[in-house]
Amino acid sequence: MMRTRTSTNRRSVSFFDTAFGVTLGVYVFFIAGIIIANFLLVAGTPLGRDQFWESIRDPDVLYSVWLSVWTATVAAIIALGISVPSSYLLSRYRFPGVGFLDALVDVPIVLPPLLFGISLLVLFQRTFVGPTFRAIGMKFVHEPSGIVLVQVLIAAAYGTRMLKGAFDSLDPRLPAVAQTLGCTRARAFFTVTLPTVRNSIVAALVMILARALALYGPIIAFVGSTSGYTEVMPTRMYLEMSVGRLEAALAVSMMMIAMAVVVLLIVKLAGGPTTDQVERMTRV
Amino acid sequence: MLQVEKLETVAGDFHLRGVSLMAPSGSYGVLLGPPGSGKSVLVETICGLRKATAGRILIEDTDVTGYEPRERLVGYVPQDYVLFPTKKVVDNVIFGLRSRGMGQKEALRQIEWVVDLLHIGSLLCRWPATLSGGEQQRVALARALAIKPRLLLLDEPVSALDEGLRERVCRDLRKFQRELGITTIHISHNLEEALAVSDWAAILNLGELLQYGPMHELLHHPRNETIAQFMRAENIFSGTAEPLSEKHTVLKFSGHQIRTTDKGEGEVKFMVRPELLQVLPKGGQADNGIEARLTDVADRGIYQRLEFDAGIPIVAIASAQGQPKKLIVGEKYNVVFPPDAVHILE
Repeated sequence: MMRTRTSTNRRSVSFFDTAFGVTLGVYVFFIAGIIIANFLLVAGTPLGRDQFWESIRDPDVLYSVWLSVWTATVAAIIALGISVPSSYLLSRYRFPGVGFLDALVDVPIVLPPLLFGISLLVLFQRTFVGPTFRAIGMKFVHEPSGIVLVQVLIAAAYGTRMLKGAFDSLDPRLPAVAQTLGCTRARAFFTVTLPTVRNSIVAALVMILARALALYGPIIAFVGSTSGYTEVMPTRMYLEMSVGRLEAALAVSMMMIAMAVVVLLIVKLAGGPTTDQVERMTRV
Repeated sequence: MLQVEKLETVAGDFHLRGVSLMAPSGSYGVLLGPPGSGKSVLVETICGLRKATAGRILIEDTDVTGYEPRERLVGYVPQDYVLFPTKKVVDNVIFGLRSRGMGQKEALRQIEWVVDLLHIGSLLCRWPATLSGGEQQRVALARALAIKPRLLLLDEPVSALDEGLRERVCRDLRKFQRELGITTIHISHNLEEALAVSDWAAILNLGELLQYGPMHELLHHPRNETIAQFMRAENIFSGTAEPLSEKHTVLKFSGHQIRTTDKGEGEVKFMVRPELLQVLPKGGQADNGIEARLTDVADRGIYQRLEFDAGIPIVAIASAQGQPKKLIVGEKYNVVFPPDAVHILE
């Protein structure tokens, strides 16, 4: 039975608590079920085990793992670098058109991912954008750099939306007081505002990384899927599935799940304790 | 010294209009007014957090109107203190000094005086979230004072504290301010708070400065009925004024007649503070008095609140030590209006 923990006492379980607990339990059942079912199929059957060991020795699979890791990492850093100032600007400034900009940032979230990839291809192939980038030596279509571009453009939208909420709830007097004490606006932002929303930045980074790792539809549309070149892990998984090699697809998925867990742990640990945790540790 | 000349600014739909006031060096002033009157907007404009659309701000004779907040050297303590939650108390206090380029060790040395003054030595290693309201207030004050500001602005510094603590903290604020001699402006919507600390006060309402000056002036000579009501003047009467002599004016109201040293003519409103009225037994020699029946006595400990009926309600205050004999509800008394205590409102 779930007990409610408050800061001062424990109280008995109510129908309210039980209903919420059941809701969470049902949801977690499916999530855990997915992971356990995958694991059982891969580890619990001879074919699954064979496919797993074959996959992790396959040079093309290993390349797709490496490609997914480095593109998602680079994309996450760039996307975070876009999300922080974008969300701050949308939160703090009022100017004509800010509402329109706010809605525009949500387009990569609401648009079907494949359509986003196709639209990006049209932008690069049918307008001046592609030739302009090629002229300065930057190629994206059918290139690994194109994977990073797709991941950045989509993941940054999620990061911006998350961080805007954080900046909206931030007391605007914090940077204002910092300025009266002697800071420039930039220094107040970096020394006061950002540390205060640190936990939200960590959460946004997790979201951005997760989105970047999981994308494949727009990547296929924009850069294609050349084995050993532009084939990321989700694409590899999809292609294994499409030729009926379910166990091989799941073997790749187990690697993705393991990678995702490691990444999440690293990011959470790097974020440090939450303010609540600090308060509990230091309460006199 | 702070001088504000015809200052105007805009905050959303709110307009601060033509505010002019002067805070003498080393004085403690209070900005009074109901919520939404523009007190915080005025203070934020003086700090530089809002741009003035017209007018000037001079701090110690320097026009700082176009200066960035960090250049004005104004110590600002906002309402609810707004300590930086991700920095320990010591880092909050030295923040201003570090922002101005001072090294860590030197900054720690430079804050020793304010740590001793405000008794926050035991709090330095704590996080702001673990502090009580009073502790947060002292840390916020220390943070503002550490930069040795030319002007100190306190936005409702005691509103978050328990009622019992407020008066003590106000007295402490006044004591620190006197020791340091910093020109200080304190925002409040509470008259008792203002009475406890201020040398001068300014009343704002709907973005306009209604009156400012020594507290005594606002209490006894409010410019109009709005100010009088804000200053809790209970005896506000309507009547007609006729000049009697060069020094006196006769006020006729509700069948009564008294004199005042204020000048006026025609239909007027006038007031007298309850504590300035004198209560004498009926039949005694009472120049400028009105016969009134005592209808209620409310004992408030150090004073009594007396309500009279003379066809119009009259309120007087009697100190616990001042009354020669016990007052009896229902009896008639002479309520004397000292001529120099009766003030005609604009």
